[in-house]
Amino acid sequence: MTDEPRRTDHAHDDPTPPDVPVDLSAAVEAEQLPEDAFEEAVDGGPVAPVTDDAVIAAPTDDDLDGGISPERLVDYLDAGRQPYDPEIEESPEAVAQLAALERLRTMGARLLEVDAADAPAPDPSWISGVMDRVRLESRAGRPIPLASIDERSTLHITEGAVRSLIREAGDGVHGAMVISCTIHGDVSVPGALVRVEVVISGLFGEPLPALAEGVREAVVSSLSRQTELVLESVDVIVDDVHLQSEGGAA
Amino acid sequence: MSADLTEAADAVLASRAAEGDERAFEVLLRRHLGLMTAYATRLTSSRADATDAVQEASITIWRELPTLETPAAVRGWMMRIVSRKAFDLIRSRRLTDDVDDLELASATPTADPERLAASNDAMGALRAALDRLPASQRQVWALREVGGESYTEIAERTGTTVTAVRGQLARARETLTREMEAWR
Repeated sequence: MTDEPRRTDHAHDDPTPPDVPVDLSAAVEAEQLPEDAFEEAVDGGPVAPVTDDAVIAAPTDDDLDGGISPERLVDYLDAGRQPYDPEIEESPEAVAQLAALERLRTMGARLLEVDAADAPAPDPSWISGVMDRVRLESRAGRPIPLASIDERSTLHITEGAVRSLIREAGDGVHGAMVISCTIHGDVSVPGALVRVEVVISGLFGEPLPALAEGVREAVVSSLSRQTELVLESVDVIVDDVHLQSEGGAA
Repeated sequence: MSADLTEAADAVLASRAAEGDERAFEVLLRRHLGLMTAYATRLTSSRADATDAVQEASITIWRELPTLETPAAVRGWMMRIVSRKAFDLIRSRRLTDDVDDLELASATPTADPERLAASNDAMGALRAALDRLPASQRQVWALREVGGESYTEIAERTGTTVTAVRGQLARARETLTREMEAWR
């Protein structure tokens, strides 16, 4: 292992190098990529504790003439060149090195896009293999009992199947796309009142109240026709608005 | 006319897949499969291993989607699972190959003619320079600059320390910026 403290004489360095994921969003956006590309990297990552070994900069036997280590430059770059560090910004070598590092970072953010464009299309059998395994692990949710004319047998419909009905009903309304749905209530008790909540995205330009009402009616109609659920209410929440063609974007 | 999932935003697909919509999951997977495979290929240096790693990652993504708190961030989250699975594979390879030093894996740098021909442009030059790096440096660099993962995450993936990661990154960046100088 190489974790023994070697050089701790970076007293002039920022004592706590920010251990945060790189903010690649700027570089990525510049390439007209989906803006969510690395959002996770920016705000979703676990906040890493600054441990002792993070404070000790790794050995750098190749410090620039001015004594500014490459790691210090990278930490400065990671921090968005803030706060202004005159020792770095006033050294032509350091500024040139910063530009090279920044360029390398921009190219790194683009590398996968280029790799992916060059790669052969995925084998259709590979996808179907994955989807077969996915279907083996379908999310059935709670079993919902159905009335049975035969007392010795029980019939169930799964919560997953009900969700599927809700999604289909909602998607079938022009301009609506179901984002999520929740079935509240004790569905395991036949005849219990249940409340359904459907979150949708509305097509830009559609009158949203009418759209929400259309989805509500479609869901009520579908569930009444195809299940034995006793609906107390179906609530529709328009949580997002989408454009006609935003494929790939978030 | 039913809503077209292929035009749906990542966040919508992720939410629906989390609730069991297999079609939404397939659309999400197809949309990012190229990137996932490219990332895994960068990490494992093998197309075949990358395909295996992405397959394991895909199943894990399906399984863990209900735990994803920010559906809009699904792509970055998927990429992390890919790197996790890629390193699981690298580790198991190392055990079976009885090789405990990752550097050995890079003793035979890939120098195929197509790669060299592609270095007529800056991106090609970067790829070629990456191929010449020791495997551990290349992996750490990709995790950081391509995957945007934190030093702590990288240390976990590679089974080293944050200090070691920073050192490897410094060496990788130094080599890469030097080799890329001609393409400025």
